[in-house]
Amino acid sequence: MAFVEIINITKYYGKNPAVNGLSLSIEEGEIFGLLGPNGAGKTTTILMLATVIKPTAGTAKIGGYDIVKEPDKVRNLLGIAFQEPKSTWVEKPIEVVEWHGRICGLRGQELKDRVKDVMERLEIWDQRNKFFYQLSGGNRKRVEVAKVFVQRPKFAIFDEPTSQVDVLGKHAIWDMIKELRDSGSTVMLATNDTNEADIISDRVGIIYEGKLVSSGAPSELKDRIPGGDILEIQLDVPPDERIVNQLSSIEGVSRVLSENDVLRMYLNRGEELVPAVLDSISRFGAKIRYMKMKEPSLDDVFLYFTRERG
Amino acid sequence: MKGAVFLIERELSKAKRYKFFIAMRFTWFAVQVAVFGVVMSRMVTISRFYDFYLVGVYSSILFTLSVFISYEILEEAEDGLFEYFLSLPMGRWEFVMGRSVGCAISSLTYTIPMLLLVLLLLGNLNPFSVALALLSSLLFAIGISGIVITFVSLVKSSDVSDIIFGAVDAILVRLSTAMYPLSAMPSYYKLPSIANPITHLAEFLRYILSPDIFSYTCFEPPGSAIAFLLGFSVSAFMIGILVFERKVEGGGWR
Repeated sequence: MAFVEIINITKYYGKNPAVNGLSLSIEEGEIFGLLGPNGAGKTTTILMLATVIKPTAGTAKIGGYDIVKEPDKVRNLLGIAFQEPKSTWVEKPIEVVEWHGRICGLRGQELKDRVKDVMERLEIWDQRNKFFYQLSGGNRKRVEVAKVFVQRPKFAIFDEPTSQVDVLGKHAIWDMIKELRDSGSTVMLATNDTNEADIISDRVGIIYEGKLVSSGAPSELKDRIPGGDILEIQLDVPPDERIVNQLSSIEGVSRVLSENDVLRMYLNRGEELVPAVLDSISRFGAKIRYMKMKEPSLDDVFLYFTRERG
Repeated sequence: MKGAVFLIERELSKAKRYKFFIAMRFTWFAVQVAVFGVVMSRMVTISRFYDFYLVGVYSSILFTLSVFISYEILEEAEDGLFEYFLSLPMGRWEFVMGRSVGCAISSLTYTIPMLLLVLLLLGNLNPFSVALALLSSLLFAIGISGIVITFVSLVKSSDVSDIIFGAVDAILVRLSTAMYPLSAMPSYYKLPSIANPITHLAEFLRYILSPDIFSYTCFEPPGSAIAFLLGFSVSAFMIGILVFERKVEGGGWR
């Protein structure tokens, strides 16, 4: 059952569409990764869902409540960790997190226990009485996500939750997001980190120029690339257009991308096409420095769907 | 309602960070009444002008501080806090109420040392008068805070807000009975002065703190002054709710 249903939502800033007819649904209890390049409309989408800004057209329903008609009810269901940590410079992390917990209805020992547990797991408990301006960028980000983990909302939104956070911190945050999902929350994760989306999302939606260009489980999206195998070849010289055209004409090669001296080829039945590829390259007198075949990553999926439209 | 209470509490918790600011403003106020007020009252022939001036300068500083404190919403917007507040589980009316009342109580708290000095100099420490003075000052500060918060949130520009509030501060204080009685004003200044909330606060405070001076400067009964202040704060609050419900969005701060 869809807990979040976004229906043809659009947001214009002046004459420019930041989000343009976006529709998607998020099932109850899943982590949905919203993946897109900078400026794709992820944050605008999130701010509309959080009822912070109003759609120019379309709407969304969260837990059955319409974000345009029933914003107060929607706000009772959600918690959001913003891309930029939200605090004044002279506040202390413990004050920020506790105040957030209290305004979201937590009280007494339960609040204290949750705050301590979350801040310890995020390794910011020792920093709790410092001023916000004294914290590193990564720790400020941890304070921002701590608010949502303490709140445990029905619908949790994380906007680039691990940017500036070190590797250990990233894993702690990813584990806690999964636990939040397991405890019954529905999660939207906006990120431009494909690895992050791949690791923790149950489903991923790729947004580009304000539109959804593809969505599904990470494995489904990888299968959706025509030519699921990727052959990467580095030549001794930058490949010219003739080589690219020749390689593109081989049956089973669905796409050839050229970047500097590296060719990236999307193939069907890659292993069967290697001889023909080598033959074509040698015909132009180019020498191969290295060659490797790999399964597509979410990076490839992302590049495929965004470049296709770029 | 709980959301408003938490916002008020958050606003008040910031007060301890402003101890130097409060000390600075109090020093300014003390110098103003000890030097400027004394000298001015020797130049002005109206009897008890010093008492008249004391109440007026307190009214004007409460106005300036209410604007200043409410204006912090700009700083919070630049820190990104505005979006955070708008996403919290509370209605927009709670946000407007919480911020207006929170800023108003803060402003009042910061001016309490000044009010005490005024009461001491006037020789009026009657608890009933003090309570009425605080209540009327709070109503006034709620109205000012509500208007400032709504305007700033709508305009979303520190440059535009700086220019407008700089001008408004200068004009409103001068086009009021804070520093001089209505009877001394040219007729074309009287109408804007009568519509000015600073006038009504100053008039009401004079009535309850020093009825003698009220008797020769007044232009309205005290009941109408307090009714004006009540209407002003309620109107500012209602306008704030309407604007926040319909117009105010996060993002777009310049």
